[in-house]
Amino acid sequence: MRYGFYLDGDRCIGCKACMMACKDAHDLPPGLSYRRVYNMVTGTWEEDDAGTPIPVGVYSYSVSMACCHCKEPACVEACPQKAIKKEGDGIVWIDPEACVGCRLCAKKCPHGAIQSNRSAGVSEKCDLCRRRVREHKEPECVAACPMRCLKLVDLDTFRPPADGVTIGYPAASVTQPSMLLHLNRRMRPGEEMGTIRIRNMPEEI
Amino acid sequence: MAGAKIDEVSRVWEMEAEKIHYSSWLVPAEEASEEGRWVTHACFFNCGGRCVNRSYVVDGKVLYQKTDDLHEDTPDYPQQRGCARGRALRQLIFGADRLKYPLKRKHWAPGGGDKELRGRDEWERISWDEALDLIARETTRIKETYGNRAILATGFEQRGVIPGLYHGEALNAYGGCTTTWGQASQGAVPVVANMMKGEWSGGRLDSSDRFEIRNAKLILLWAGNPAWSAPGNPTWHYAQARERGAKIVVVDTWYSPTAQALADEWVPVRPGTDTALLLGLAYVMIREGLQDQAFLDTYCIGFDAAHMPEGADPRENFKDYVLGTFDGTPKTPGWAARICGTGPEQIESLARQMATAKPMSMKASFAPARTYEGGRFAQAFYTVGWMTGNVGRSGAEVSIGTGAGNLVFGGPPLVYPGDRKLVLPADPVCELPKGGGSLGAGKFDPDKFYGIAMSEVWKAVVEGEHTHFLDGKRQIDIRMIWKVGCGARMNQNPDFNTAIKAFRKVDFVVSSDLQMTPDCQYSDIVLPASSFWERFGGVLIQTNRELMIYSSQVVLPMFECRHDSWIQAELCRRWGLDPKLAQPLSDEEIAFNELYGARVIREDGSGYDPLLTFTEEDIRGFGAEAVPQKGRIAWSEFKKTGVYQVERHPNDRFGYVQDADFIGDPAGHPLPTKSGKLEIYCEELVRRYEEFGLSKIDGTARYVPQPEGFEATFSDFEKREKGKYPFQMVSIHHLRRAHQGFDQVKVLRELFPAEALMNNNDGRDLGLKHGDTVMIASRHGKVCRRIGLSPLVMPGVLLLGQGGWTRMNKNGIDLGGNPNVLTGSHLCGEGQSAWNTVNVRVERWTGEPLAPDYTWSAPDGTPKGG
Repeated sequence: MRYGFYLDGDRCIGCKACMMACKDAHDLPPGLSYRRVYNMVTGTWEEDDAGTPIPVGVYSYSVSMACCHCKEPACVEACPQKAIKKEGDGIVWIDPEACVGCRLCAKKCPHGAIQSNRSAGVSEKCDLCRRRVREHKEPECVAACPMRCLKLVDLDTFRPPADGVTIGYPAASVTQPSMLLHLNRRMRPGEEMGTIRIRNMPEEI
Repeated sequence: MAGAKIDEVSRVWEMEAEKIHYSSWLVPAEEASEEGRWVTHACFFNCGGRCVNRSYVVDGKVLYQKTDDLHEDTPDYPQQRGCARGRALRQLIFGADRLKYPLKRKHWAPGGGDKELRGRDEWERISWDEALDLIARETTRIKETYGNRAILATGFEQRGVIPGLYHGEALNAYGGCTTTWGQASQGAVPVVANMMKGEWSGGRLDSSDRFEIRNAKLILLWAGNPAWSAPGNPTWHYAQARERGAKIVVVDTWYSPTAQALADEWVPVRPGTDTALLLGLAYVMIREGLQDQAFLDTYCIGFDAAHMPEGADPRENFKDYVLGTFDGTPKTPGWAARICGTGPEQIESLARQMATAKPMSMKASFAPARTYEGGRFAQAFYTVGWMTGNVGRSGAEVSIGTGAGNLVFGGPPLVYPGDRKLVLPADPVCELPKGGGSLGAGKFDPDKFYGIAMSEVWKAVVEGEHTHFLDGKRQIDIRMIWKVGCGARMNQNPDFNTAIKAFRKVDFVVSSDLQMTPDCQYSDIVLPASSFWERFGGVLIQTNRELMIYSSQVVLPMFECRHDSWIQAELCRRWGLDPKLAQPLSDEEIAFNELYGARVIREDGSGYDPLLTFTEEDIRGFGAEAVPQKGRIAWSEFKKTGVYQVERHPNDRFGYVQDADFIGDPAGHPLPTKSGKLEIYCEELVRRYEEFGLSKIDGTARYVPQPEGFEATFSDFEKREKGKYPFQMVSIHHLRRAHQGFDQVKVLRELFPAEALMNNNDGRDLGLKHGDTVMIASRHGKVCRRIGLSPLVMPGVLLLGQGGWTRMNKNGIDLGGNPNVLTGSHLCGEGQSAWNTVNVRVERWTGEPLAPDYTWSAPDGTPKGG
């Protein structure tokens, strides 16, 4: 059993219901979000001989991301207080009692997942709604998704859809994120768009 | 969340910022206890949908919310999941910007005081008694001096304080008022639909059941963006069809979030030029003989000269117009492309797909009809749809207005609430605003006073005359603007700058609302209304046929907020009228009627049964008198969740296919049109437009350039030289808000920056970078906004989300991003507001750059300018 997020990037409409659900459930003030939705756009326009504008490769996709609950989390290593725990089921969480808000974890996280709650003086992030998950409920973000494109999966047993391409995401780097992204139908592995780099991680599939 | 302390959780940041202590104004709820309880309520703003929302309440405070989790989620029997806005309701209800007590504008005095200060005056707190006395006295003075017609009640924009359309019950009991008529949401569709196909139900019966799209081979979504305008389940339902093999084509002026999730092909089209594109498609079908001629011959009139009604000029037929037989202009793809901006090759290919993929479901939103010549779009859309013969068969559909809210799908309700039995006084002066009702159905009575067209209302107040159908111009002397209950017409009507003049002209403006909305900011007395969360429950208008939500009270009224109908009753009392006239039933009585009378369809689809079993004890609990009844489920069971959803599966007996009867037996089930058929050539339509006396329409669909349309962006169209206002603006429905509802909720502002959007090449040509602050100017006003640059938007187009709260700076430039500061008052068609017919220019803002608006302080009194 290893929990992870699966996002159907072909279906996501970027509506941020997941982000809002997370902010509501965790009462996060402006500026603090454990989950973020990135909207990426690409393409250009040309004119035909008669001056009609023709779109060339114009499309968009959205990626909803929180903590990736990495297999080899850099944040756990970085924490001098041992405040960040990696559980047997894959969940990575920060113990607020032990955290001193030094931000060393945030500097090491390649995904920008760790947020600073300045008023509480601690670092915070997605804990995969671990209390809910242990009660066999879906995380708040998953339960709120109107497109049913964000899922909680067991990476040990999950098989992605036969059509389309599913990749490990984001780039494996050293941390091996526990997130799968089913690519938008117009997207190709290796393609670089916006600020997010899409790379295959064969070891994750 | 679990384990968090209550005072930590009720961290409502805006209130902290303003140092208002939460517990000092919130009265503990009756059922307060350490244990929380989940309370079901429907989201009450009018996006068009109605999703399930639930709140976790402890000690009268809402700690967090959730959406539907009441049953297993499957595509056939889905949870009614809501969007980010619904999930932000508690932040709206508990926001520091809630109106807390009655306010009076400092320099107002009976007669108006210093009227020019409206919108920039200071506010004074007054008591309810003082507020109600002032309103009652000043209304009486105006009524006695100028007559009831001098009072303009602006309703029509449901904002969730009173469910349903505007009633004006107290004013009606006191002799009536002037109201407005015309189309808002539905654009120029209702009259055209009623005349061409004989019926219009606001979308509900004009489209097929949601299971039908799963049978379509091709789904054409025309200018529909359900991902933003109906961001609950509808887009997911389309995804089901796509996964079953349907090809989806999205025709829109931008590659919308709906296109992102659904489109196999995107067809760009310039705003307001959809008619030209449709004519180009028709041309290809005719040239290649691809139209369904048998369908046209059997079910339609007016397609070609051989099928024109008796007495009509045969030269007026549609086919000859498209071919250019008499006007010398064939409506070729090349001709269309020059106007609509769609590539000619794509027009050819789309026409072939549309004509050959059967069944095809072809659905348009109202947006292209919210234009000056919107009626011609509706004509062209129906005509080209009917040319493909996709009517009355499973998976086939041609419909407009099925892109918003849960109106995406149609069919009679499978579960519905009982009649509320609420009879309110009628307006003795003026026909109530009827929208898509009597006028839309062509039931015009020249002896009745319909009030002022919505799109002309502010100009009419300023100039003292308005246009009234066959009568032409009529004098009108408006002295008072009244917005108690629903309404947001200042912010939401076109031409905000003229609205300011109108508001500053009259003697008195009174309004009620939840927050200091722009309409309130320009008022003299502002009353704090309670929201649905603060009232005894009820069933809100439900557009999803499979669902009934009973919204329970979530918290007690906050501050000094009061129920709108209490306000109306108190005014009646002051006018010496029976308050029962304005408040004939309590909320409890209304709710009982809705629940007791609720009906649910039988399994075999043969009819309806009572939904709820009520025992004597249940009935006593409501303090009502009724005979106990046996229903599908017990009231005691139903009230645990407040939601009843009819379980669906593809082979159930609840399906609905639009116009199936007519197609099965056209002679036995003729349409209620003059000919009994679909009227591609429609004489009745021309006659109705003559009654409205505004802009003209022809018997068949034709392309006509619009004032402030695409052609007007040029100083010389033939030479393609751009003019002073080179861009076209579209007021899109933005995910941040539902009309003006939600706009000031900080978390939604953070999630959805709602910048203006334009094509990145256009931005580059103007020397702009993504995120720059720009000034957008039209012939009617100026808006300052951050700009987003994106290839998703067609060149030459600017998108600005409707519903932004106007915030005028001292130079009369709106920093709030309200597109209605840029739109003009056009009287046209059936009185629709031409929100999507406007030209703008964009230039760099030379002042201080705008900070993201979630960082702004929320006005609860004087607006703060930049």
